[in-house]
Order: sequence, then C-alpha cells, then structure tokens
Amino acid sequence: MAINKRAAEILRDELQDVYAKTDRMFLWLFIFQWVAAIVLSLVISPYAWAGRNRTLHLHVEIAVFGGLIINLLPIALILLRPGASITRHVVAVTQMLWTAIFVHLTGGRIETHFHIFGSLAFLSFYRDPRVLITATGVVALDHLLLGFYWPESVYGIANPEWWRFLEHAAWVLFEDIVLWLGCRRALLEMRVASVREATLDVSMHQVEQQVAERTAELKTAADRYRNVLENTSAVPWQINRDTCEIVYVAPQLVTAFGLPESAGRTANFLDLLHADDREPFLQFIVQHAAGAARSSAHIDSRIVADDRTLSIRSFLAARDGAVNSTGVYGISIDITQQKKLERDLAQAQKLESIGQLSAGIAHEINTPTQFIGDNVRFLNESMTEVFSVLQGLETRAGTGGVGGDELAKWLALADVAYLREEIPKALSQSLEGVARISKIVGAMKEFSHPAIESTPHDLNRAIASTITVASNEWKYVADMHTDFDAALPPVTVMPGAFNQVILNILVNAAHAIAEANAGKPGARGAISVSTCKIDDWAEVRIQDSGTGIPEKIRDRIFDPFFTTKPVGKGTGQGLAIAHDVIVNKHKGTIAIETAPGQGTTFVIRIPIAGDEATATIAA
Amino acid sequence: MLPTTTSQSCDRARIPAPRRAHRPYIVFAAAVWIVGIAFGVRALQRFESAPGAVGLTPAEWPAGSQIVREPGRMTLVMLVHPQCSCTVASLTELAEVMERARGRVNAWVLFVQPRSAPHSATWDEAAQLSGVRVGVDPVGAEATRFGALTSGHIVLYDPAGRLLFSGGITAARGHAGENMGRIQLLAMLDATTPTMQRHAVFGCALDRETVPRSASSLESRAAPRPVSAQGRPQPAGAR
Repeated sequence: MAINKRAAEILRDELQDVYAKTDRMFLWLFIFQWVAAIVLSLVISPYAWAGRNRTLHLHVEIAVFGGLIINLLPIALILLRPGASITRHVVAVTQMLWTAIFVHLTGGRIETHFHIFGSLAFLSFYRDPRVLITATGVVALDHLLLGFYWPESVYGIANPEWWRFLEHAAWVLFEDIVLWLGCRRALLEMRVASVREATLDVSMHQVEQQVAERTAELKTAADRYRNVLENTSAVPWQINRDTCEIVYVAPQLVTAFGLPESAGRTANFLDLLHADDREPFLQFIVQHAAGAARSSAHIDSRIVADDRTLSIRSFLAARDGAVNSTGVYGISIDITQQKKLERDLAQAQKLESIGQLSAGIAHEINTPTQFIGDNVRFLNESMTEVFSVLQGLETRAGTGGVGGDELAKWLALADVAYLREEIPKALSQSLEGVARISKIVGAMKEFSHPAIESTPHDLNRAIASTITVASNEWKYVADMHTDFDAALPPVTVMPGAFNQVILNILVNAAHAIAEANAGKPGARGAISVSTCKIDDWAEVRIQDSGTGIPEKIRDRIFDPFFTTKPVGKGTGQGLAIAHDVIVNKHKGTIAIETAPGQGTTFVIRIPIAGDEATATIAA
Repeated sequence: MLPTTTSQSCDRARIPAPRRAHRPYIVFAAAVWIVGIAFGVRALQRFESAPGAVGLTPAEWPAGSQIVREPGRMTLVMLVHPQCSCTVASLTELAEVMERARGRVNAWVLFVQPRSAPHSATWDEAAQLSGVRVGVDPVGAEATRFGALTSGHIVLYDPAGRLLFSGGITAARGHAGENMGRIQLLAMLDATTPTMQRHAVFGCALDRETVPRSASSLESRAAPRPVSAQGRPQPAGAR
C-alpha cells in the first residue's frame, strides 16, 4: 500500500516535471516562432502596394503585434503557472494559432500546413492526450467557422459540404491517435518506473528508519554507558600503547582522584604517575597490549597530587579493534583506601593471631613462672632456716662456742643435707624457666618484627621463632619436625609479613590435624617444616598430616573471606593474606600439594635477592 | 520486491493530477487574449478578403493591344504589379492553370512598370512558368485596355477574340489554393461552360498614374516589349 501511494506521488511529480519542462520548451518555441514570423513577413510581403505607393503590409503587423499578443498569455502562464493544466491547454491553442499565422504569411501554401502536425508532435511532449484534443478542437473550430463565413479561403469553393471541416479534422485526429499511443506508452513506462522507484524509496525509507532507530538505540546505549562510566569513581581511558599518550580520559579523572584541574589536560598518562611508576606502567602496557587483553591484567601505581600520594590500580580492558590502531582501553580506580584497609587488615589479622596465640603463650610463660615462683619460695624458706641456724651458731659462738654435738643438732634441725641437695635443683629449674620465658619472649619479639621494608633475614631463624610462637597451637595435636637448610643464605623478605604467612599455615595445619584426629584419643599428627635453596630461590615446605583440601575448593582457598572453619574460629583472611604477601609483595609463588585424607603441603618460593632481582631474571 | 505484473501496478499507481481552480485574473486575461486574437483575425480576414478594383474589360479583343494573338489559340493576359507579394499566389495558381491548359492558350504576364525598372523576384517567378511569356507594360496601356486595376487580374479571350474570363484566380490576397476563380478559368479553357465568367481580383493596386486617360495617348506610348518564355526579349519580327 505504501509503495502504491509513493508510486502515485512519484508519477505525479514526474508528470509535473514533464509538464513544466515542456512548458519551458514552448516558451522558447513561441519566441522563435514570433521572430521567424516577423522575418518571414518581411521577406515575403513587407509592403502592400497601391501603384507606386507602398504601405507596411498587414502581414508584418500581424507577425509583430499579433504574434506578440498570442504569445503573451501562454508565456505569462508558463512563467507564473508552469505545469498547470490551464497553461498547457493555452499553449496548445497558441501553437495552433501560430499555424494559422504561418499559413497566412506564406500565402496558404500546402507545405505550411505541415506546421500543424509538427505542432501536435511538440504538444505530445506533454504526454497529456487532452492537450492534443484541445489543439485538434482549435483546428476543427477554425475550419468550421471559416467554412461558414469564408469557405473559399479553406476549401477553395463557395459552398462546401457542411462536414468538410470534419474531413480536415479527421486527418489531424489520425495523427492524434498515433501521438496518443506514444503518450500512452510513455506514461506506461513512467508508471512502471515510478513503481520501481517507489519500491526503492520505500525500501530505502525502511532502511533509513531502521538506521535511525538503531542509531537512537546506539545513542541511548552509548549515553547509558557514558553516564555509567563517567559517573563512577573508576576512570576509563584510551591511550597509545606505545607512548601512553592519552587519546581519551573520562572527565571524572579530576574529581574521582581529587586531582588539580590541570591534571585533566595532561597529554600523557605517564605524566600523571609517580616518577618511579612510569617505566613499570609503560612496560605493563607494552607487554599486555601485544597479546589478548585480560581483565585480570592490572598494575598498581601511585599518583602524587599536591601534598598527598594516592594509589591507583589500572586494568587493561581491551585493545582498539580498528585496523592499525595503536590504542588500548583501560580503567583506573583509586585504591588508596583499599591499600590502607589492606594494611589495617593485615595488622588486624596479625593482632588476631597474636590474640589467638596469647592464651597459649601465656600458658607457656605461666608454667615456668609458676615453678620459678615455687622454687624461689622454696629457696626463701630454705634460706630462713639456714639463716636461723646461722644466727644460733653466731649466738653460741659469743658465749663459748658450740660443740660438735650441738652443731650436729643445729644442722639436723635445719635439714642442711636436704637443702644442699634441693637448692641447686631449685636454682637450676628457675634458670631454665627464665630461659624458656626468654625464648618465648624473644620469639614473640621476632614474630612481631615491626619492619615493613624488605631486608635480608635468616629465614630458618624466622621460621623457628614462628614455630615457637605457635607451639601452643600444635604441640597438643602434632609433633613438629624441622629440617632447615643451614646453607640457606639470608633472604630478602618483609619479616613481619613473612612470619605471619608461616604462622597462618602452621595454625591451619594444626587445625587440619585436629580435625583429622577428632574422635581418636591420643592420636597425634605430624608437621614438617623444611627449607632449602633452589637456584636463586628459597623454598619453604610446610607439610601436615591433616585432612587435606577437597578438590572443589582448591581454587578458592586463597580468596579473601573464604573459610571452611566454623564461625569464630577463622575469618577467611589467613591464606588470602599469605597469597598477597608471597605473590604480590615478594613476587614469589605459593602452591599446594594435597589430597583428601593425605594431608597438605604448602610450597612457598621466594626470590632470595628480592623483587628487583626477580624482575631482572624474568627480563 | 518489484511486482511482476506491470499493468496492475501501473493502474494502482495511476493518480489524477491535482486540479486547481483557475483564478479570476487568469480567466480575465484569457478573455482579453481571445478578444485580441479575434480582432486580429478579423482584421486579417478583412484585409485578405477585400477584392481589388476592377475596370471595364472589353468583351472583344481590344484592337489597340500590342499583344499578338495566335490563330486557333486562346489568349490569356495577366497584369501584375512587380512588387505585389500577393501576386505570387496568383502566379502559383496560374502555373496550375497552365499545367491544365497544355498548350491550348497563348499566355502573357505583363508587369506594369517602367521599362527601365529592374526585374523583381516576381518577374523571375513568372518567367519560370511553362508556356507563359513575360513582358512589360511600361505605361499601363495594356492594363487600361483590359480594364485591369489590380495586380493578378487575368483576361482570357477565345481564338475569335471573345472575352471568356475576367478576374483573379485566388480566393484572397496572397492566398494560394483551390478557389472559384481558378475553377471558372479552367472551365472556360475546357469550354465546359458557355458563358463568360468573372471573379474578384485580390492584390495590390496597379500603377494607375502610368495609365493614360485616353486612347490617343495610349497609342503614343511605346508598345510592350514581349519577351520569351525564358524572359529574354524577343525580336520584333517574332511578334
């Protein structure tokens, strides 16, 4: 239906165009005929003569003024109403009048009458058969009237038959039929073309409509994404993968990161970063932009703004899909608070560990403290007795001395033999107790090493201290076996964080053994801790005989807040912190070897020379 | 998808052109236009259909005529104005007549003009006519004898010198084509009608000032100088 309607519009427009163009053609034809008529009249009959007197021939006047008059109306209509029906019918009448003028100017020559047929052919350019009818009507009317009033001028006889005009008109009609067939064929072709064009138009319109709808949808989607992207605290960007020059950066860069306004005009992403973080960032982009983009690929950097330093984490989202494009997309988020929370959480976890260990440590300290106290009290009582004997002896010595028997009585009273035997024991035990307390305190001190920078440390000693600190966790369920590599050189670690990792694994091992031996009175498990040097790496293996880790949760054990322990016993932070410390802070590896019921072995590898050496080796 | 039946599609695509009411000023202009054209047509018709003056044509061959009749043949004389454009149509009709006469008539076209006047295009056209001799009537004596006052006037006399036809052979000024004058002339040539015929003459007025007022003066004028059918002057002995 739409096609037919459109085809009708197209056909109407096309016909209107044909009418207007044909009008313009006749405009020039009329002017040409006017000039031709004037020239013809001047050549054929310039003057009318009366003897030797001459006057301008009426034919000249008719050509000039008559031609002007008959041209006026059609030309005015062509200019003012091009394409109008009235215009082309007036044109038809005018053209027939021009035939009459030429016939008169040429003295009624038969040949001039062919102007009629040529004119009809011209009129057929309108492709409107009604115009031909009008022209034919003018011819018929002309002959009809002349047949009545001046028959000799057209028929050559005074009394022609009344139907003679029909004879002349019939020959004109004969040509009309031919021209009508031509018009009909042309109109048919125009209609076919209009239907074809309408089909294309409608199809194109539909396509354009679909494009417009899709474009609107795309714009809506783009606006939606833009609104989301540019109204979050994350900052998306597009940079050149080779130079890190900024192609696009979301406008919230300034507000999200709290940067000065000038930061929004930064041309290169590297200029935003801390001087020490620029090269790693560039290497990160170069390294990851070459391969398939991974959402997990990220790098942490620092931004120095005014008097504060904030941390950002940049994720490489995708490469620009355009051919030969060097752009990469990414997103940066402010992780300053997250970093702080991580530190706080690590500290809290450490405090949690210390808190959990405090009862055991207190117990460890309390035992020697108790027997030290007992021994001191024993010594105190013993010394009282000794001192009373000594005082009696001193008194007796002032009065004449003490005999052997009396002295033996006094010594027996003081049980000197017993004291001589027990006091050394009491002193020895007390010293041992003091030593035990000193060891525990020393271990605690080492475990709680405050250093946060990586420095070379004796890894064996650090592990031994941690084992000591955690002894109350494992000594009731397992036997501890250590196998430290004496040749292990100092390893560059952050001691506090590293000890925390060992502690977390030991506590987990003790818990796993306890769980495995639950319901088995007297059963004890085993924990083995060993160290060794493998190339430039220090390896620590912590093996337990616990329950092992089920297959289905192995991939999650390092996730934050993931725990299988009952509420109150575990927070799910232990192994997550262990992974962060070993992998992110020490650029090492942490892996597990486990089987359900067979126990678990944690294998930790740390570069002996620290992070920089590892980076050098990797490069 | 394009329709396979074009005629149906064309019918559906058919739509009448929008019709607009004609504004009054167009109707008024058209009316003025038609009236103007009517006036022009009327003026043209009056001009072309107005017959020229006709004098008294003698019923017998005038004795003073310098034109020599040929025994056994009819004599036709056409008097013309050398510059009259209307006469071209008369010559066209004369050519038709001469075609039909087939040598039965001794035909002359006399140009009423001074002997020294140059030949006009009409002369050349007349000279091209088959069986027609062209001459000059320098003082209009012959025109006067035959009562011709308008260019294109033809007189036809039978071999015995009796007038058969007098008048023009066009239907209007400068209007060629079949007309009653030509029909009547041909009828007389064919001797299909016994009575003398007359017809109006359409053309320019001949140079009356050269026409003498009396026969004596006519005699004193130089005789026309006949020329051959090819327009070349003929020697006097050939008359």
